[in-house]
Amino acid sequence: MTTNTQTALCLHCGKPAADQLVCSGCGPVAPATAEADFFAVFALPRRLTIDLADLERRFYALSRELHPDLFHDRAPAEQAASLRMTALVNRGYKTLKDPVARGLYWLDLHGEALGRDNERVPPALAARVFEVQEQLDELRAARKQGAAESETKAMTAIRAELRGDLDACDQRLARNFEHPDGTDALAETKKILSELHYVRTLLRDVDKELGAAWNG
Amino acid sequence: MERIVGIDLGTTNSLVAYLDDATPRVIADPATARVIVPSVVSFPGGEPIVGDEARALAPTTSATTIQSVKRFMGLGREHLSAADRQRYTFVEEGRGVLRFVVGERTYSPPEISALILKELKRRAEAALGGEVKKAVITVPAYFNDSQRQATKDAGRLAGLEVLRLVNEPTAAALAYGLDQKSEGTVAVYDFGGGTFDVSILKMERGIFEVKSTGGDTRLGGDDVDEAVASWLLTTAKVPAEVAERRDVQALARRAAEEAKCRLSDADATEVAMTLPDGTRLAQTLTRTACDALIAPIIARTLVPCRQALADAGLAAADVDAVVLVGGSTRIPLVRAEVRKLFGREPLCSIDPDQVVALGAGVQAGILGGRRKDMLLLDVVPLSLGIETMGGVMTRLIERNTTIPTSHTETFTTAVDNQTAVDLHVLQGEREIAKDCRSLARFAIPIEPATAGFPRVDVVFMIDANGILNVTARDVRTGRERSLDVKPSYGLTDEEVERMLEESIDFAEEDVAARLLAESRMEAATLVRQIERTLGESAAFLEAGEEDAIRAAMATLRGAAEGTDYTKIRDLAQALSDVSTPLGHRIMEASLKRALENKSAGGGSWA
Repeated sequence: MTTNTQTALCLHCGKPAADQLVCSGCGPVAPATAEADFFAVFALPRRLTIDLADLERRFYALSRELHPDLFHDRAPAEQAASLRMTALVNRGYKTLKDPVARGLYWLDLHGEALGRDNERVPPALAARVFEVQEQLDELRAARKQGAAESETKAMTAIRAELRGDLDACDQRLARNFEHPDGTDALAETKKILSELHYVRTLLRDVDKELGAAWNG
Repeated sequence: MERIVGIDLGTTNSLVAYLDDATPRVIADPATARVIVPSVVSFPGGEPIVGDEARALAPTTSATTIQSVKRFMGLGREHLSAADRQRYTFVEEGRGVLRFVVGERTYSPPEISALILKELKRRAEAALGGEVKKAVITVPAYFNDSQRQATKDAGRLAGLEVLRLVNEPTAAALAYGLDQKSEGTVAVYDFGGGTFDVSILKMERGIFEVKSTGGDTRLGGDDVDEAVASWLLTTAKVPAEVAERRDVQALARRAAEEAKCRLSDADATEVAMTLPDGTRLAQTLTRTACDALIAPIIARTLVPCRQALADAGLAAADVDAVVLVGGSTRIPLVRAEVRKLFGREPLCSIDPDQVVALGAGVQAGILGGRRKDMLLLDVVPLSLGIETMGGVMTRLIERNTTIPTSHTETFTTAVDNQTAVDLHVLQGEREIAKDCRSLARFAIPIEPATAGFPRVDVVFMIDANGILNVTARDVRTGRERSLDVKPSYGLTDEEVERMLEESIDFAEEDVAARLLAESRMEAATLVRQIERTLGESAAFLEAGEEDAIRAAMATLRGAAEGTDYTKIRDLAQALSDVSTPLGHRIMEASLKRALENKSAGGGSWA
């Protein structure tokens, strides 16, 4: 377990907070992403690789201490604090358990954000996006005509490919997480996350369309 | 010990339960020994009748009887279907609050629901002895913010403090978890009278973590009845002008519902009714023919099931158990489709009509401190966001996020000396704002300055009930800004207050006397809570703090002897404020303890 030795300034009153969760001056800090150190919340070292089973154990243990259900008969200040801290723990868990959210949060912590100077989508990826969107249009058009069997089949194949792309991205991300320091690694993480974002969006559109097919 | 009950406020039937030692029990009416209160309210002579008697009156008094009120909770006029309009007459008052027209009077859905809750409260008080003032009420997991708020309002109108709204499938899982001590991944398929829900949960050592939920708040056994009723009227060649009459529809629905229940066991049955003019209709319906009629309805339940699995990142085969909840799961076709989707035999060892109420009873016990080993971690069913440039919905909190959760968004101004930023809060999965549910509108007050200079943090907090609370704070001054939130559909706090004052129960009572009694009670509760904190957590006190708290307590006690309820409320707030830093310190210590106590989760931490 590492302790976070940085001094955090409270977002609201601007004074140094004893730790990153609570400001003795004005109450718990309700931080935007970069201000709350989720690694500190779960008492984890600041590393991108995380043992998910261990994270879950920590999440459950914190919930058993802090959840509002345990405080409904306590003083209002304790109820309010329980609510805010549980919200923070829940947000932290959601962020850290998902590799993509964790990666984005990591970029945030390092002052890098996706969407900044990444307007240039790799040409191959852009081509892929257009191709899938075109096929989706064809599927919709065929459906209006009533017979969309071959288009549905083609889309199911695309879906399988996209799933494969997604897995490949995840693996690259995990490998990259092993060596997260250094500018190159950060840039690479950013690149993979950007790709992942496109693949996920495409897959969602495809799932939506195929879901409609399953249900008539 | 204060008594907390668990209530299943269902579309068709309602029940109340409580935790007796470690076992949840549904409460029967001592007079009739019946546990189910049909969710029907009738006003035959203007005065309300609730339950079995109202249900018996329904087919002949369709103009003064309200059934399935739950389907209308938190809705606006634009959400009504043609069938709804045909069934009831509505007026719309103010912003979007629906009201049923019943004879000379009108009632909002929360007021009707409150009448059902009062009946359950009366029953619980008669059976358990003593007053019941606090309750856990279940809601469909897929209820949005307005529907949840309307349910909470109904509780208040019935004289109940709603400690918690619990999602129905989660409550059912709680009842099963207690019953079977099971662990693993569970899918709860909850098909009730008017709503459909599915939830995927992970159960581990007393933690019930909801992974995902989905559903349809306008899909249930009612739709099955409608389908069979319209089949009957069509097959029997009843002329359209007769078939469309409200009384004929009510009779046909009753005949359909009874036939549906018989078809759960029989292969064929006669659907029969007598028209108001005395003509008797009778048609034979086989189960196969009925299945064909209702298959599209059942198919609609499978869409949210697949979505919930996908959202949980699971395949059907990863699910260790499937639990059936709700009366509509007695339909053989439902069981067959669930079996097919999940590839396993569903469980229904606990009565599907009672399991939600039993789970609500367990949650009431958890809140009352009687089951410290169990904890529910639920999710918000629908994404929450705000309307941004060009009428787009910008998501701030994604669906299936564990609650409570919050999101902080910083706002600034676009032009010099702008004094407010208008916000429109939305809920739903669609990308265009107007396709999502409008929850509320409000303006963030801003002190005049150069454009872009002011910064106001707005915190969107979804509490453990799945209800949104919004607060704003000026980043530069640190000052809280009060917000005037206008709910798009639903009652404001003032309206609920007014209804309480107008309600029959308080008619003879002096309003001021009631407010005084309430403020005294609140003051006493607060003093008790803070005394407990001081006793248990003396170690966290800073120099002089206890004196300040005790002084505020003494002033409050003094005021509570008097009759000025405004003063009592103000002093209670002052006491609460002075004890706030202590509360935060205690919580901070809790957090540290949880982190240091490595064996708390049972496993060893790296």
